[in-house]
Amino acid sequence: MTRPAATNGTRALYWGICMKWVVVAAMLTCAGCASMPGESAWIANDVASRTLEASAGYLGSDRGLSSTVAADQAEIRVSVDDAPDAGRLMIYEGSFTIIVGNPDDAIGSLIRRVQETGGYLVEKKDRSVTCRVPADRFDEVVAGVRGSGQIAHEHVTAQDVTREYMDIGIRLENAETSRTRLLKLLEKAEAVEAILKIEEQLRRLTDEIERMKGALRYMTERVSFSLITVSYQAPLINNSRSARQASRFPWINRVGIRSVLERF
Amino acid sequence: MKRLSIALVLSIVGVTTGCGLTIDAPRDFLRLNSKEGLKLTTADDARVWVREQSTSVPADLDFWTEALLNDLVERRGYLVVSDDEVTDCGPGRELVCDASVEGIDYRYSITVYVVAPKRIRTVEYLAPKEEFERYIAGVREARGTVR
Repeated sequence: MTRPAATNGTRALYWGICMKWVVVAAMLTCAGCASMPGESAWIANDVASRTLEASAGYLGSDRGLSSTVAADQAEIRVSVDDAPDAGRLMIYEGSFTIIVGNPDDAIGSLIRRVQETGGYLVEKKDRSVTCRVPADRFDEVVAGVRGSGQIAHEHVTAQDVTREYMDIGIRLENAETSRTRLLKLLEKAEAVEAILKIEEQLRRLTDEIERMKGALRYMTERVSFSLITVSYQAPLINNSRSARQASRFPWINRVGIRSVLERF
Repeated sequence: MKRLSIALVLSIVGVTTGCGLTIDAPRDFLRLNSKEGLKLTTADDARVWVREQSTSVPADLDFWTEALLNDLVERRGYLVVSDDEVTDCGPGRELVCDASVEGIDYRYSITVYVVAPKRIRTVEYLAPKEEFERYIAGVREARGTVR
């Protein structure tokens, strides 16, 4: 497959981002090797967040970052620090169908467990529960779900959104830079027509900035809190004649739930 | 109201069927006409079925209970909630199980007695799971009156 020809500027930006992530990976490895296991996660997060900060500063300096942008970036950096693995921004999601004797008890138990981890209930419908748990407790809650009964279905996904997160962050910086310039222009503008045009541009940019901030917040939420959906089922009676051999004792074949329902 | 009155009268005098079994019907239960043991039901369709059946070979209570338990759990997929010895009407064993049929969750109780070397008596009680507790005490009390 042929790739579209990139301009020199685009190519330079692309390689710039790639090189920065190579540096991030190297720093994470060094931090992990040089520290105690308990410290490594903290150091990795710290190094990665500072590297992200440096990257944003570097890219921003080319475009003249304003203090407003810096303040917004600080907000974003906090979110990155909260991520379970700041080297990569991963969204973990899991869905399960579990067969248990008492689905209602299992649902209550799951909700309590989720709340204990600092998570929260998103939706409860019939015997299906959707909740979010802190990403660093995802494995623990999943292990509990698996152990609560017989697993009929399991689907766990991990989505790497690092690149997407960075892309939105860069676009946000650019938009903030443009907005700052427009504000300065607005201060100097005297003609009514020019003022109206600038204000129109400012409105458009402000909307775009809010949308991007919202997208970053949403992504950060999904990275920080993993989604778990569990559907509980009671055991099903096996109605297949081929699968079920009749008891050799006739009286046993004549008792049971289906017998009471159909021959009563 | 008329049904309830009949049920109350029957519960006072006891119920006799063509099979020779009698029971003091639990409160709220109405006896149905049947030649297959005693059948009692509530207005919301909880069901009690008392039967005596012959076996081809003699065996003790432990054997029959284990055979029944294996069949219910291993072959039918029931989930056993409790397994208790009872003495209300001679030595017996009560199994309480959960299972779902066509999307409805049921709780099912079966009490087994060996009334003769080759004769089994069973008292079955079935209700939707959420209704089970409403009648179980009355059913257990009535179970001791089966003669």
